[in-house]
Amino acid sequence: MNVSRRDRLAGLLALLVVFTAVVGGSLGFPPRARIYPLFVGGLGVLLSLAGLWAMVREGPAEPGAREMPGGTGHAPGTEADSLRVAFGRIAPYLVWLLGYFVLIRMIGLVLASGIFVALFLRREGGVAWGPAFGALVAVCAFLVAVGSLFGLHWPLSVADPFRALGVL
Amino acid sequence: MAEEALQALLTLLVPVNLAFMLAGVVVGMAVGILPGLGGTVGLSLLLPFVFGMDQAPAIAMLIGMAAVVHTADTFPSVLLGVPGSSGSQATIMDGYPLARKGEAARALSAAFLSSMAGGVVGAVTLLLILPVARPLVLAFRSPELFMLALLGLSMVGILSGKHPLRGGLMAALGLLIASIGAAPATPFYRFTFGQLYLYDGIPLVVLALGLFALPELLDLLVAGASIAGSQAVEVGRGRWEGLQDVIRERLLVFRSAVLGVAVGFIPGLGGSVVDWISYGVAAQTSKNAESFGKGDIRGVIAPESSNNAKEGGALIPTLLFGIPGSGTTAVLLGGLVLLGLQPGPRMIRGDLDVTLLIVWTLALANVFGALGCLALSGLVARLATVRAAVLAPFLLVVMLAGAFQSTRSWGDLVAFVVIGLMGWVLRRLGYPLPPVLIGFVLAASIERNLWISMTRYGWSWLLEPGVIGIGIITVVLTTLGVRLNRRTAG
Amino acid sequence: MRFRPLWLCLAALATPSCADGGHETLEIIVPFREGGGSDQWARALAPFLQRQLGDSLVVQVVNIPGASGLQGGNVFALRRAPDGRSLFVSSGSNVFPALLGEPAVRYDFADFRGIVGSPVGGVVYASAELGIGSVEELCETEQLLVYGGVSPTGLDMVPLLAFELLGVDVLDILGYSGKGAARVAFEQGETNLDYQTSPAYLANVVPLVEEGTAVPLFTFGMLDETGRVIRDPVFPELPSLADAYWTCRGGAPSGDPWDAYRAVLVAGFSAQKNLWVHGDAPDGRVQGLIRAAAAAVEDPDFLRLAERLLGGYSFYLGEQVEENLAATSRMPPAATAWLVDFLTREYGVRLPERAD
Repeated sequence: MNVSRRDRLAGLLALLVVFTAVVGGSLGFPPRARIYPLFVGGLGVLLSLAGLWAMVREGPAEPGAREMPGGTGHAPGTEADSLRVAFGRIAPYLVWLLGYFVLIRMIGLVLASGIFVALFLRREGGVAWGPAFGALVAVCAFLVAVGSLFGLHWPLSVADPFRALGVL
Repeated sequence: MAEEALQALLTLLVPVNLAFMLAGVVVGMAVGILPGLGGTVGLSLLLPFVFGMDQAPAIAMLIGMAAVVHTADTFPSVLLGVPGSSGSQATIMDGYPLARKGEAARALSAAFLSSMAGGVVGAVTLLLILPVARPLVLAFRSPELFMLALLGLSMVGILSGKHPLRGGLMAALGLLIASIGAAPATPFYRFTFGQLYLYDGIPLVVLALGLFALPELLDLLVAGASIAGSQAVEVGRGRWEGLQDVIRERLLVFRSAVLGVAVGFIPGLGGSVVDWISYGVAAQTSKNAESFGKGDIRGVIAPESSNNAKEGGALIPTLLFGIPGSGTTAVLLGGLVLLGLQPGPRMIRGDLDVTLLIVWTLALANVFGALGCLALSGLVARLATVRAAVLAPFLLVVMLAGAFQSTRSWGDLVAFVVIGLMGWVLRRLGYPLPPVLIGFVLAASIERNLWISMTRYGWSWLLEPGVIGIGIITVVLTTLGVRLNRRTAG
Repeated sequence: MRFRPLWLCLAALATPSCADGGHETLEIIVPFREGGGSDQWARALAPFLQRQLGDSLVVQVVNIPGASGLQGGNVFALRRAPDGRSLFVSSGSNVFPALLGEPAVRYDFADFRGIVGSPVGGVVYASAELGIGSVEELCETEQLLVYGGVSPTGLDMVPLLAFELLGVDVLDILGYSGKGAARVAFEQGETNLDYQTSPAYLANVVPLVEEGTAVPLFTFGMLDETGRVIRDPVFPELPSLADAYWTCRGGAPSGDPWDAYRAVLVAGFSAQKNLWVHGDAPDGRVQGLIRAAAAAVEDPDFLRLAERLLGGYSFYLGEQVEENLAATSRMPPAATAWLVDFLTREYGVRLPERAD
């Protein structure tokens, strides 16, 4: 996966800003709480400056970042994929996520999860309505079972039918 | 002590005790497999039953549960690249690449067999060093603990490939994220922006899931593929091969297990970093180490052997000093106290029978847990062949259900998404993410022990022999790591 | 959560009570993680409360950790209905912030009614290597005394105030992750002065005293009904801090520092663990809970467990819980001002402006 020079520069600058803000912010802390964030922030500032310096030194013809272990970058879309283009690709899924969260807030984790899975399978997975509904039932049953078995407690929502029924 | 040891084994083999141990094993496997749940949740399920039970079956059940959490948590690490719990972070380094190559079953079976071996070695080591354990634990004072935390941090150098600078930046980011919340030694809350959620800092579970799971899910969805991609046909095979791998690497298994016990018994440090240290040491001392990080089975064997062995080591401070050596032992401690045991020096003198029972349970539960996971592995490995668009919603639900109950607060959801997006961008820009996690788990140890060392000893602690010794090891390992990475790159 | 009884029934192989359904739950909110001291306290008490309340009410311990115990208190005060079906465990960790005016605290113990509570003691001991055998020698020693603790505004506030009252010069090393870690540091020789709560002292320090590496010096003492600091009933042979003060200063303790000490002693030790219910909960239910707790703490099985777990102090009930904590909030303004100044001066603590 190639990372464009502009994106890398933006990333380093963003990190520099964060670490600088940490240094600035921690100056106002009481002495015992201040030392550690000052040190870490300072380290971050130095490292990001070193990164910027390395970018300047190696010039524009950068051979491309090697794939990192662990993160398994095998992200889709290849070569000159800018961050913005890639973000455009994941954006629809973030909208799904947001919808899911709103649903959780409204009707509780259990039913919201069931509905989310069913709709997602239907729209994105191309699964027929029948199996999708089956998934809804299965997810709700699973969460109710795990929740009551392990005594899990999820934050309360506006209206949770399962709680209203006294199941959870 | 041999006679008492035999007596304790016979106690465990009484059918009732064995049955309760197996019940504990089943619970431990369940909470280990589900990402976001861990020993704490398992214990809260078991605690209500502990009352009114005899000591022996109750201990068998609690230890049985605690012993296998780190066996079962390998499933999410290998299949999803998400640390199943704090113990199997490093397994993702090679386990997940193996799954992507369609060798999930091989990775899993190797992981479970080495977990089993590591767990047994850990229990035996625990037995052997029990009589001399107290002075060993006491040898590590704050300056030594600080140096060990630095040693853990130096693993970042090995994990960052060709770009040590980026690894360093990410480690600093992890150290920084960990500073959110209450400062030690003074009642001050850092970077909380007035949010009560942040007073205790970001929970490790939320950080790990956000950092690794969300970016991976998003990219898989965009690719529209399954985890194993085009290798999907092959998955499920290779179980036998994985077992053979472990037998071939038996020396590594043993070495990593001993390392696991050794790091595990150091209170306040062991639990969270032992797998990284083990991984780093394996990567640096093995032949043909270039393939580490790209799906080398040795990168699975080493941390898995260590993280089960660690539980044996972590029990030493728990039992002998009453201070937990890892997250799981922290809750275990509560369970033991409710059983009327007061962990302390008496555990070797008066309550030796109980201690030995714990050792045997640890060993036996590890065997049963690994067999159970091995039996499941063929089936579960098939998850890697399911299309992302079908798998993703289920995974998201399971992970949220786990992460969301860690503090039972809406903040978990927000933090999950914010960290997830941050992780996605950073990964996209070519930054390695494991160093963030390493920095995060070591931060508290670094800040506390440095502060204590400075206030207690001034600068003179730098000249302590233990400090110098650990310092030399750190320098040697880091130099080796840099040389190794240069060789790989060239 | 009504499923839980069903699951419990499965495990208990279907006792008759499982068939009738219609259980109501009694939730005990523990604002800390599973396994901690408050959790152990609540989980030890819960089955005996259950025994008294019968099968119609299912007692359930719920951990709501976060913000050092503040989160659970806020949830209890703001989000739980005052129906007498939710209880809340307080301990020193979530009383001190309320005492010091931490703005994140949204609960007020004056709004709650007490059900049952228990005290705990604390014993200060020194390393045998110092050659100190008594309080007198402690006050006179020229050697470097090193105390290891967690945070100046937690339970450590009590020993730190004690050293201040005695006029003992101590190097405070704060920042250990817990009192257990501080005790290990003591054994390592990193520190040579420490305190432990009674149960931890009995389990972990008594063996050290027996082998001759640690020497007990004094207890924090306990506040009686008249507000005097008396000897700890579990360690009657050891001087209390009041006795120690006589020994070192040659007079009776008084003044702002002494008032501050007594207030933090109550919050941290003499009234350490308490079970609360909302003040506007139905009175009948509250009385029923107090009766059940009174019977539970008399249960011989419970007493045996409590002896090991808590060190063998007697429990107090109902209004006594409220009165005990009220002693804390009645700290004179001058003593509060002195305490705030002491913490700021000695430990760089920056306390928020108090609203009142």
